[in-house]
Amino acid sequence: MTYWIGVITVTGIWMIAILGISVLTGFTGLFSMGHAGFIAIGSYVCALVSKTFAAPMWIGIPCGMAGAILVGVLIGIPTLKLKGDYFVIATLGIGEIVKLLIENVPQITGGARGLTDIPRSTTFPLVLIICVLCVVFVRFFLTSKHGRNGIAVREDEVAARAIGINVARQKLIGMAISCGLCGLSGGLLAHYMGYLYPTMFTMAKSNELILTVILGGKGSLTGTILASLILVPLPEFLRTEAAQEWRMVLYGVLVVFVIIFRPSGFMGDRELSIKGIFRFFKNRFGKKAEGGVGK
Amino acid sequence: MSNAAAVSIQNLTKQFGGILAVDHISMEVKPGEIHGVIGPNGAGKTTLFNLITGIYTPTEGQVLVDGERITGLSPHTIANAGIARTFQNIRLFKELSCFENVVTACQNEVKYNFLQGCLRTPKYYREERRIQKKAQAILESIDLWAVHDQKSKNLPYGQQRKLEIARALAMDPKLLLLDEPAAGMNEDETNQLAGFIRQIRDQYQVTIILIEHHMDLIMEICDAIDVFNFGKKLASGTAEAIQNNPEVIEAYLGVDD
Ligand SMILES: Nc1ncnc2c1ncn2[C@@H]1O[C@H](COP(=O)(O)OP(=O)(O)O)[C@@H](O)[C@H]1O
Ligand SMILES: [Mg+2]
Repeated sequence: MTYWIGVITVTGIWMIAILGISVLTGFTGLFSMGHAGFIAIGSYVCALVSKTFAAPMWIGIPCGMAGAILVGVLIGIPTLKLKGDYFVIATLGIGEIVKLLIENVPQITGGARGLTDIPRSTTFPLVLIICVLCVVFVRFFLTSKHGRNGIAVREDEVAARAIGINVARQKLIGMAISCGLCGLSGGLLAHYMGYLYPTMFTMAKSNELILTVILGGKGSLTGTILASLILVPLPEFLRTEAAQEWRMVLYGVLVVFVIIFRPSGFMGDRELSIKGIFRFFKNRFGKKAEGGVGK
Repeated sequence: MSNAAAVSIQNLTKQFGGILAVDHISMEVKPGEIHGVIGPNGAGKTTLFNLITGIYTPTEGQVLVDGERITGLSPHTIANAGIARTFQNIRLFKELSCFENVVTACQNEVKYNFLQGCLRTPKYYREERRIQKKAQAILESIDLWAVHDQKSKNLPYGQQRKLEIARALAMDPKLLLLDEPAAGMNEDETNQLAGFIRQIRDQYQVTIILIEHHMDLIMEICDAIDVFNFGKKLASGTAEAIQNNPEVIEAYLGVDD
């Protein structure tokens, strides 16, 4: 039982990061290859603040988030103004740099051997509450003017400019939110695991997170949530070693299938809502009734 | 009451490599006017719009709107100053519904900040209700309300063109730039377009600059016309004057008939 609660807790923690990437990729149209780096910044800054100052988690986590946002914005300012793939390359670079930096200053970060003895203060109820708050935050953001502007940028940058949207600034907002949520996720992760290794934050991890967003459907918040709930704990269902090794292959196969059969992802850009489910069943029922009477 | 803008284009020039796409063009557009710009393909008409809206910076010259220089400002600043446009190749927010397209374009007048938006303060609800009503009114006024919840990419071509105009109107423009609005419309839709553009000018009190190839449409609704050819201004004047100008007939109208 405690084992499964642990699985759900970890799933929730990663889901917060994936929500952030959903805002960036699904709702602003930007691709990042290195967001695991921002989770790393969040987790290490948080853990170091907590350890060095014996500070509680609620001080360490905002510090980690601030660090991730700061680095994200500093990379975003010069690269998001440019057209093309500079941003993708910059994120790829930062992901690797962060990992290398952690590995090469062992006096501070513990290096490749890891940072240990972090107080394990992240609990399941806490993660649950924060997850819900994050979903609500993202939902409210997306239905506000700033979220809509981001979606407009995703759809057509030239048209977005033509209706008065500052495209570079809008992308920076997307970047800041995604980095903030990744930082938050990292802080919770640090205090859940009790230890951190640089290899937790590889490019493979970044790709896994962005794949989850794409599989769920770019532009669907509920798609992101569902995909996180299914794909993050997947390795736990496939406990055997062989399955672990084949996991990335499975991801690849999933992506191929989605591209062939549902190019816009599991949910497309639709949202799952109670009203929608109701309508779905009503349509089904309605059609049957109609058929019965009509023919 | 009218907020329609006066536009003064002075010596405007844009060079792309070896070619002068727009070559020392000067023109005046009076407030509330429907001002036609015609000319063969490649004459520099779209480039003129891109220069006015700040997508390109001119090699030389400037654009004044209501006496204020807008040249050199960024595209979003120019847009927020009330200069709206449509595109020759339709650029809608494809995956969004018609309604969302128009609501999104209201962004400049929405006054709540980031935090108020994310916390849904009363101000958020007040502002959202207001722009939703406004978007509905615009869509109703141009007969698109019936399809307001359809994805814009699924609309027929003519309705997409109208939706682009609706989106531009949501910005409360004082100057509206229409780049070949009849392109891709069927004959029926084109015939209705004249009345439609006039209705917009009167109802929304905007100055309109209109690029078009349909001579009948241009001659019917334009108060003044400029003729472009190879980046240069060939002639300007009223519809009759243009129609009787031998140079224009040779360069353009002659070909058309
Ligand atoms: N971004 C650009 N780069 C290079 N040449 C361009 C660019 N935009 C337009 N042109 C050239 O400028 C000329 C005028 O084009 P355009 O303004 O689109 O003509 P029109 O709208 O009157 O058909 C054409 O010769 C076109 O090839
Ligand atoms: Mg053109």
